[in-house]
Amino acid sequence: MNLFTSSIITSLSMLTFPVILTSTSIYKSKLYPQYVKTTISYAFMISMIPTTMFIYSGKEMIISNWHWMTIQTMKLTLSFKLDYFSMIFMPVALFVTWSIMEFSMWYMHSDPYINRFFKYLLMFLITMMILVTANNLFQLFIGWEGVGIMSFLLIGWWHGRTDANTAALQAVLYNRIGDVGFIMAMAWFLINLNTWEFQQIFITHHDNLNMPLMGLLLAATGKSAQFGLHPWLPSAMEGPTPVSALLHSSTMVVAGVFLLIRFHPLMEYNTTVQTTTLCLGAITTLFTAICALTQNDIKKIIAFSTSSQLGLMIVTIGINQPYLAFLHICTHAFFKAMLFMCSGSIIHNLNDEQDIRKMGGLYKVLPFTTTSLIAGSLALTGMPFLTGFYSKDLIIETANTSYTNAWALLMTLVATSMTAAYSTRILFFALLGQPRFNPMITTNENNPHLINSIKRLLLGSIFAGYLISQNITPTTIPQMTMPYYLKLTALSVTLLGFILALELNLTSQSLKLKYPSNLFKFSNLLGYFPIIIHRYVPKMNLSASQNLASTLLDTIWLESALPKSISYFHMKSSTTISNQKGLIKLYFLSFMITLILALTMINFHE
Amino acid sequence: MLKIILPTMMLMPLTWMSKPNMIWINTTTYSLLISLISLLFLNQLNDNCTNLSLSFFTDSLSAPLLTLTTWLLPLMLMASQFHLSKEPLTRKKLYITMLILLQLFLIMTFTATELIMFYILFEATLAPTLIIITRWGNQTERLNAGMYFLFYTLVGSLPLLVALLFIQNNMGTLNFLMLQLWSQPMPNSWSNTLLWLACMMAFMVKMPLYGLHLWLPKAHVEAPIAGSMVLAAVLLKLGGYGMMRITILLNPLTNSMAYPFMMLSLWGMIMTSSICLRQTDLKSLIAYSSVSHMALVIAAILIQTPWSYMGATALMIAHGLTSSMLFCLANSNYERTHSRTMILARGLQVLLPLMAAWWLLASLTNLALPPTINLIGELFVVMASFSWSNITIILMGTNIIITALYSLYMLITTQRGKYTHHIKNIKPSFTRENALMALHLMPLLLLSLNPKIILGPIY
Amino acid sequence: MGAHLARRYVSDQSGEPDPQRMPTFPPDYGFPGRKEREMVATQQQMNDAQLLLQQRDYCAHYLIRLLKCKRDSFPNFLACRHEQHDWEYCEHLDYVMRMKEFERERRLLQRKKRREQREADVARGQGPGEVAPKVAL
Repeated sequence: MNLFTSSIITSLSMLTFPVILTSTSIYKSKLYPQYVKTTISYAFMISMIPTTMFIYSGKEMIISNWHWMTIQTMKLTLSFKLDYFSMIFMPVALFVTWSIMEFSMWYMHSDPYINRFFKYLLMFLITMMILVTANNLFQLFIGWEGVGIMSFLLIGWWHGRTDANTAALQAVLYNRIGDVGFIMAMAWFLINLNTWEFQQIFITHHDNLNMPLMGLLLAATGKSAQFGLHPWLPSAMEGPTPVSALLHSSTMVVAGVFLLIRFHPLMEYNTTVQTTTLCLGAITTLFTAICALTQNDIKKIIAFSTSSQLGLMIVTIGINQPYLAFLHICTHAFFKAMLFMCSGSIIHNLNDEQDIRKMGGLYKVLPFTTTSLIAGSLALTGMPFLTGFYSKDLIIETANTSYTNAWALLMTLVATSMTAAYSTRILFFALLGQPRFNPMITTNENNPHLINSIKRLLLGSIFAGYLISQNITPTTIPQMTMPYYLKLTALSVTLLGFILALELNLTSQSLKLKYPSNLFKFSNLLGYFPIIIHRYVPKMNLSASQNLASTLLDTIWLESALPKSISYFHMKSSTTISNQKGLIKLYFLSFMITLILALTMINFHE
Repeated sequence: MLKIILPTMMLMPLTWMSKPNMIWINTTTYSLLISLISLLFLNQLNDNCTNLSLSFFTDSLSAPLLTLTTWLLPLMLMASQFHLSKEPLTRKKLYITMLILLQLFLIMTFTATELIMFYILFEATLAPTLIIITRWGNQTERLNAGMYFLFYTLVGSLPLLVALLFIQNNMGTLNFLMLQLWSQPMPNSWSNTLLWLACMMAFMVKMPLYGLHLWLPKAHVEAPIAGSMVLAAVLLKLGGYGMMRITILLNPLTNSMAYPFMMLSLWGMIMTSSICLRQTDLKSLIAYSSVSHMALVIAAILIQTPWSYMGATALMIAHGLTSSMLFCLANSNYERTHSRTMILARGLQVLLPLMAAWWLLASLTNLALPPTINLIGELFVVMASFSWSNITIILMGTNIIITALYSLYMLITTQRGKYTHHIKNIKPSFTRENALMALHLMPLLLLSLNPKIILGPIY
Repeated sequence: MGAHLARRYVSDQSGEPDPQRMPTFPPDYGFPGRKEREMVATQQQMNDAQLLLQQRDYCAHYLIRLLKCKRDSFPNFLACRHEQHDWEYCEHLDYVMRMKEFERERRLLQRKKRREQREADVARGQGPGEVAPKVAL
């Protein structure tokens, strides 16, 4: 009992020590990255204690320890919710981050600010932990915004490049659009239910929950890069690879899905919002899978595959299976982090080359990376008995057997098959065939930091799904009953994708380059989305602010109409009214006229 | 009350009698001590108010503003040191005297019991501010700016004097504490509408309301650093304070009269923040961001619910510290590059790393990152306006997005990217400057631990 | 994408039951002696086992047994295969039963439709097997 809370608190507060220590001399030493990494690994081990206890006894808990303020009837406390979701997610996130930290010791070792980088990564993790364990909306919002801001700092890490700054700003902007939804939901809950605590929200009945749920859905759309607000996610690839790995696996992007999972007691009975969620997820998973098909940047492909998997998670929430979505978050974290680390290894070894057309033949020079990349890709596509299988297959089977929107289901299945296609493409171009990279490059992957971190996640990508799904207490009713063709759907569409992609790659290798088709352009230019949205909307906004707000309203209406015209009229009227104008000739003339008149009058009088 | 007013007055002889090398250190130290005394007022023992004498009182609305005022004097003194270093001694002393005088008036304004005394002191603060702007500003446009500043506020506030005389005639008192008890409901008639306008316009101009805000960017841009700081931090809040005090007289007319002003402030909030997106001038950007934040305060005060009052009070304090800090940061750039243009001071993170950290924190507080008090203020205002009308969330949301955008635009332009070659030989940041930023930031962060002391009277 | 969806989208959907509010016919319609299904696990047992709401179905007693077994043989997650199978088999049977109910509902709906059609025909003066007068003439 006491071990439960105390070890949670220990593991959470341990994470903050390296941040606090930045004011000491440890921060200046070369050992700081090592120190951060070790702290996280200890935090992971300590967090396993309560998780094991949770698995054993199924006991949920709330730690409520600091009363922040009471505003009228609303009480705000610092409280942690330790339920199924946070208890399972914490060790997963810590484990993945531990490996990523070790990886970035290799990847970033030449960076002069590596200590700061580690601090930022750690703070990113801490904000995510706050988000996951939060028990009220305000605390969740702290983590939510903190994740956004830390991603801004990390994506813009190489801020000498304009692209990195743009990508960082994009991330914050799209997240902010989502935040509006979050704030709206907060306002709605406050006004209608008078509470921000989860328990009180869930037990209070309200007839029409459309508005807050739509707000939360918007928030999740922004954070989890769903269709409409997705362009920041591929742009975020401008950040260093460890950042991409952390961002895409266990922090940030899953926060949106996590939020919807947290609020599933409200969504359960609201079919409107559920259908919206389902369709949104289906569009996202298909659209981003299409975009991934023709990308040439290895990180971009993996980024789009993340986006596609996030769409799949949202679809899962849309078919009312939050527990499955959560399982997919957990399993996805392992292989996605590893895929990014493998791509990081390739990129670093080929002297910062990200284009898969310039790779090839890496299975000889980077055998270990190749192994892991293949295993990760197979896990991603849901190859049986790898990690991805345990969640992805379940999701697709459940969707198949559920009474749902067939259109959304079809989209999801097509996207699933495309997952296999673009994974094949990476493997085919980067690993197989003849080397197309510069022969002068010396590759070396035998650094223990690299090998160990990838190895750990490789084991995770193979076994984690099995272990997690065997250990957790049964939460949903498993779908056991379906005809064999439904059972084999997921597998067969994946195989279809594999074979098609392989055939196409082999065929197109010897074909001459033709003028690209419109479909190719649609996919390669990300559905014309950035061109339209990122050109037109900012231009409209900025010209509106220049022409309407600044020129028309401020300088013409407000300044010329009020102060300037007043002073102008005052000046005019005062000059008109005043009788002395310095017109000496005129005065003399008038004087002369009077004089002549007087003289003539005198004359006539006589 | 005398324990604050008298030491503040005695700061003036202290300035004039100090040795030339001691004027800054003496005044800064003593004003810091005074601000420590004023911290006691934050502890409001009873719900209503603390009467200090017949003519002075504080309550939980004025106490945070009072503390902010006294806290800001040492910061202003610290910020102005470099910019006055080339002036002769007498002028330095005169400048310090002006700042002290301003603080004296502000303290008395915030604690005045009588409305008429409040009015006189409210007007009296104009004089030292005007002198600071027009005498120590940098460009010739400062005269124009001073003119705008003076005339906008005077034109706005003269009707208030008439209205106050009328109220005195009708009710026989202008005492805040008495008015709370004696105020009659105001029926809707033409004369009452005019009375409402006369009472509110003075403060609306001071806030400033969108449409009447033109004096603010001009004054901010042209004023020396201390002028900008005190304008943004305290003088604008006089408007909010006055509005919150005087609306008790104007019930229930405010409910119907508020609509045009609500619309104006909601619209203006978006307009001014989108102007920020196009600014090249750093100080002007911060000034426009002040206008947009103050529009939130106006909207909150006009909504007149407990939550909106709390939000308005918290936002006033938070914005006071944040915008003052941003002005200090802008000034530290200005002192190095001698230009307010943002594009001339790019990529400073590489050269001044600690300053970059201050910039980052200031921008983050400006865009209301949780759990800072800026967020608490903004969140409460959004809640209040959402319950007032659901549609306002669209405008508020747009403003939230744009605020984040321009804050980070400012951060990226000044700190990120490659540095330009002409700023290679700039001076490193002084300890004085770092201390200045820390003193701005510490209260912000500490207040977020216990925000209820700045949530105002309705808490 | 089961059969019901294909029917719903491709063929006639007027006789398609809505699973959200399904038994529109009395349960014992056509089954005179039909008894209600027996819920083995009591409310108290399910509360004690802290089952989620959606798990409190007719197989809950198997689940309770499974949970107990899992806890008894805690670190060994490979144990309890039999209990797991029992529960899943029960869920399978339950699913089959629900599908049967669905099919019954569908057929009853179609029969109802047919009968209404016939009654309407009779009302218009056509007996069974007769065609409309216009066609006959």
